[in-house]
Amino acid sequence: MTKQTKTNRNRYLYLSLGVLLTIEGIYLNYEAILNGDFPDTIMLLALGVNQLLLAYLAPHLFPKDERAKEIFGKSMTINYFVLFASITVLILATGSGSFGFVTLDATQALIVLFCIMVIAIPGTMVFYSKIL
Amino acid sequence: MKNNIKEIRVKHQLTQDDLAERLEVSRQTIISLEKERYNPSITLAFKIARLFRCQIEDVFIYEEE
Repeated sequence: MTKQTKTNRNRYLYLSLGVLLTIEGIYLNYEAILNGDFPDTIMLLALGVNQLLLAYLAPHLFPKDERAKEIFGKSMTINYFVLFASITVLILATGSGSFGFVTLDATQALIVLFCIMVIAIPGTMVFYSKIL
Repeated sequence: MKNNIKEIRVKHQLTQDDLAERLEVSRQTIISLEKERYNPSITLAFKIARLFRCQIEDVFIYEEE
């Protein structure tokens, strides 16, 4: 199998998984979001978006050449700061001080962090694949 | 850094896919190189020059920043 065929196969796999998970994520979460509750299955939606972003990234990343490594490296550096910023915002938002405006249990806080990371990592890769 | 990759590639009757396969990089890397968005490593620059049987200076034009 040539590299191009393998990349295309990866791309279609990501795309089909992304569409499936996104539709499922929207279907399972829209009621909770409309009612103002915490959507417990929001991870499905985040994973769907992640797969769609990876479908876009597949031809940029899968023949793992030097440009792909540079995209990986730069996006990981940015995500290091995104993780710290997200934790800081979560601490402030869920705290009991004047900034605290939401109440989340531990699992919900972890779900929010998971969603942020799952979207931010390929999101920054998309950004760098555009400018590199 | 400016480069003449596109002109030389066309002169050698190669497609972006052909060039990518011979250099073992993605087609997106070739597109980025041709649009002068991405500066290649010295290894890739040598590979490109060797493939086209010319000097690195014939392919890449260094400009002071």
